[in-house]
Order: sequence, then C-alpha cells, then structure tokens
Amino acid sequence: MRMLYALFVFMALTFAGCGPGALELQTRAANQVALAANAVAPVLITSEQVEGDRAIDAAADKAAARAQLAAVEAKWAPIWTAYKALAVAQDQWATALEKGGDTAAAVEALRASFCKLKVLLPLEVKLPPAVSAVVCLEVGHAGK
Amino acid sequence: MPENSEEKVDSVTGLIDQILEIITFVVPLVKMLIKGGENDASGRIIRVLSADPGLAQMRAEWDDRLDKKFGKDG
Repeated sequence: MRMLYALFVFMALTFAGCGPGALELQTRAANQVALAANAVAPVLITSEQVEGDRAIDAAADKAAARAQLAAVEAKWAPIWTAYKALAVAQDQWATALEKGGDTAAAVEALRASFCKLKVLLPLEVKLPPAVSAVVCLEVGHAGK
Repeated sequence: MPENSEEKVDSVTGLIDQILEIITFVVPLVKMLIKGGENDASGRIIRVLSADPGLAQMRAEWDDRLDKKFGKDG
C-alpha cells in the first residue's frame, strides 16, 4: 500500500507536466530533500563518532586505537560516498529547476542515489518517511 | 454465516488500515509539500550541505581523545 502511495506521489511530482504548479511542487520537494539530508548528516556523523570513541576507549594502545578507527572509517566510507552522490544529484535537480533543464532525469538520478544511501544507513537512523517516499520508490526492493 | 462475518471484519479491518495508512503517510507528505520546502533567503533552492567539515571535526576530536588517553607520543 505504501509503495502505491509512493508511486503515486513520485509520478505526480515527476510527470505532472511542466506547468508552474508541477515545478513549484518539485521545488518544494527539492528543498525538503535538502533539509532532510542536512538534518540527517549530523546524526550520521554522531553515530560514526560514537563508534570511534568506543574503539578508542576499548583499545590497549594508540596503534590499536588507530587501527580500529581506520576500520570504523572504512565501514562508514560507502555511506559518505552515497551521501556525496545524493548531494550532487540534489544539486543537479535544483539547478535544473532553477535554470530549466531535464528535471525528470535529475529526479531519477536523485532517487537512485537516495535509495543507495538508504540501504547503507544504520538501522537506528530514521529518515522522515515522507521524504523517503517521495524519492525512493523501491523501498521493498532496497530492503529497507 | 460465520465465514461471511469474518470476511466482513477482514474487509473493515483492511479499510481501517488503509485509512490509517493515508492519515499517517500521505497526509504528512501532502502537508510537507504544501507548507514546507520554501527556498532559502536568497531565493535559491536549498542544497544538500557537504558533510566534510563535520567529518573533519570528528577526526580532530578523535585525535584529542587519543592524545588524552595515550599521550601525544603514545
């Protein structure tokens, strides 16, 4: 059921036409995606930092601690790569909306990058459901 | 008929689920799109910010923590 709503909303956003109403709706959605991402990033950083703090606290010496920190960073690297891809895609979408470009392609690129990030996120990180629904149609497929 | 009654209950339950789904999912979404999502002060669409400054600060704080626990030469 939720997938159907998501599909509906996504279709409405993407294919409702090129009229001012549709563009306004997409502009609002682009802003919301940015606001959500900007709110989630500090949460992610805190989660990674806590893991690193624990690694330091548990380490017997500095070398072991550094090795553990490197492992923590390696674990989080794909998440930050996906986050950067999301930022690039959202920027392209926003630019297309501001300057007049292929917004449908930009939305699809954003959706793809968002879904990649969503799959990688730790379980404790909760995204605003409305935002994830707008962008990610393949929630079931993505496994989260 | 008990079976019919069960089916009716199931269909009513399903309907209630769908209504709840709409209330909890679609309404906030529509509300978000209607009320939220204003451009920034300069009129530009808001962009996703880089996480790099926050990550750099995190690493600096790890370094401080390492130094406090093991000393600078540890």
